[in-house]
Amino acid sequence: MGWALALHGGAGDVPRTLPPESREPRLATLRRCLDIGTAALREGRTALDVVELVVRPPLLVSSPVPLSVWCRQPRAILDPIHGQVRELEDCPHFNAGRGSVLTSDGTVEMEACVMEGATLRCGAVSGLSTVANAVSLARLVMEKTPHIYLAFDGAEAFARKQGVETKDPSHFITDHNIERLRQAKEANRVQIDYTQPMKGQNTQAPADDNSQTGTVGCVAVDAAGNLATATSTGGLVNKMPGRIGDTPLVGAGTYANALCAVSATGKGEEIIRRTVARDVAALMEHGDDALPLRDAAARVVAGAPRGTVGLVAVSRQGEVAMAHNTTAMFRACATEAGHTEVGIWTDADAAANGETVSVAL
Amino acid sequence: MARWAIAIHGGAGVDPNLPEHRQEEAKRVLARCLQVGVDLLRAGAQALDVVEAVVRELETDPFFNSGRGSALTRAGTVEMEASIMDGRGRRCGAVSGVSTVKNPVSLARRVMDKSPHSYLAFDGAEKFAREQGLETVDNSYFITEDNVGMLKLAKEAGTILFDYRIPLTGADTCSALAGAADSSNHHKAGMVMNGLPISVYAPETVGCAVVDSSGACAAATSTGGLMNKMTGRIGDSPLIGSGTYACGACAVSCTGEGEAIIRCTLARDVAAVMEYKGLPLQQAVDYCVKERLDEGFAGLIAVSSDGEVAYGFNCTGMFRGCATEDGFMEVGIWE
Repeated sequence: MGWALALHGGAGDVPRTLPPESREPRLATLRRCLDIGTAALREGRTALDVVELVVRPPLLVSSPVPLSVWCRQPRAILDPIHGQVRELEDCPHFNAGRGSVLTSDGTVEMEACVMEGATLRCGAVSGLSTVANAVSLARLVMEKTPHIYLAFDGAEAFARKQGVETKDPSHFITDHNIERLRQAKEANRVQIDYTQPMKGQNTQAPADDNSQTGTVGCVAVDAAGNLATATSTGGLVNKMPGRIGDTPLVGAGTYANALCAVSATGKGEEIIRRTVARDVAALMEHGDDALPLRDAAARVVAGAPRGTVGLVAVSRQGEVAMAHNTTAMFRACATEAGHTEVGIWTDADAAANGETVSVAL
Repeated sequence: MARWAIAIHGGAGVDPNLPEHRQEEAKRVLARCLQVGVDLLRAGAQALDVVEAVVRELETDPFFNSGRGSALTRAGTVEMEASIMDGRGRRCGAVSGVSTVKNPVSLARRVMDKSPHSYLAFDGAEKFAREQGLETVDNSYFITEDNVGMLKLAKEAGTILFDYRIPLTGADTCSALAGAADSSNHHKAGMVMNGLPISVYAPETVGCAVVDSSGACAAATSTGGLMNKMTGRIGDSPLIGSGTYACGACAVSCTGEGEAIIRCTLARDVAAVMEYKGLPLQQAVDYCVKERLDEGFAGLIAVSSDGEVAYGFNCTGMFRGCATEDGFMEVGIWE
């Protein structure tokens, strides 16, 4: 028992030759997010607050308010949208919020989802182009509307009504992603994402068209045993405008119930048809063969075509599972018992067993 | 050779006081659309083609809330959504925010067959429809007088309305709404759905689930969504795993309180319970309707690869029809 937290910055065929300048900023962000999340959990914040926290807060980035002070402030005073996924959304190295990959029109269309395990309440958004933190808008849909899912113009209009932070669409577009789009168009292919360095030396551009880093997500179980999950993404490089992936689809990329919380990443179309996040929970729930978290996660991931799926999950008991059938998954986790992990690839032994890695209390 | 079977629905949550002539009309439309599917199956058509054809019929008929006859957004426009899933390989396609495409289910199929994606929405979906040469019409084509009247009523009541097919009479005024709308007891009895009394609410999402003579299953669902919904609101119908699901074992299409269906991923749960708990189709349907819907009201239709049909609902009624290869055929509304 006890709290636990896991987060990801996307799964994909990221080669181990990934240069330090691409690796280090992402690892640094993962570590920072882990610290923010664990501090919040220790302070007694709810799982739902924590998963949303991971994506933000610009508060911490721009002003050195001690975390303990900030976390102790009553929610009414705090900007109501704090969450771990927010921190990840603000990092331009991950495919969510700023740093989102581009549609075939060169625009950004962001989507996100949050879900609270104890109540099955959920909120989702798609087609955002100006909202600074999609995950927070998803939470507002859950808390402030009778609906679960708002998209495109309707979601943007709702954002304005709610007064959430918005930016000019250009804020979200990075040179990195402009270049990625150009390459994808040349290759006339839709990419999940692409993490190879852009300087001309890379010969494997075609072979890396499945690199799938991107999408960010966080799952948590708090001290009271409540579970929550949040996922956020810019989607696929060179996707058709209007394309919706697995991230905002409850049961596909994001799902939480009273048993576990799951956030998935990878090839959206595969995750949708396999209802990946829901299936982890379903395997834990049903019948005599009810699987423990780690086995359920491993089974779901192994059941998808190689190179398409990764996920992080926590159980009510405070177990953590991080599994992927891709070469890599940017990830981090921490448990109350003191185990922490930040990683990208998986060690050779686990790789031989299907490239899954998991951590249990 | 497997036995074919087909189930269709026109929405769950029916006013017990629905006038007789409206009930008869509903049954006629259901019977006609069911027959379309039966004829195709007898001729050896594939499940995927059958569900698309049947849902097209249901969309085109203005009686139910899909295609023409869709519920209206709070802006008075129509935004339709649909999804389709092929149990073979679990391929799927979905669309939302469709405003000019005559048959949204066919656009969903094109997304599945002709795009690298599974789900397109709003402008992107409309653009793709034109690229694919699908039939488009002005948004006004989908708007019926009945629904314009209903939107007004919904706005007055200040709540979201599923749909309303009962002709307005003097008795159906806001006083009727005011009485029932705030009673949670009424909701518990299924007499209030999505904040509206059952006399005013009548969700009529349409759907079809089919298993063909090769044992392949497919499902499709289509809707205009909630009356007076916020622009951009997406419900369960286009969400794979919620409103629609098909796999090697079965195919499912749901209808009712969309948010409740999403929260419990209803369509996927029927299949998951068959798969992981080993329950046969009807038991899986009953289990999910009874145990999964918690406070929500909804219904679903399903078929299994063995040629069974099943349906279930926890509300006052569900417009439905089923037929199997051995000649069984029925349409119904009530328990």
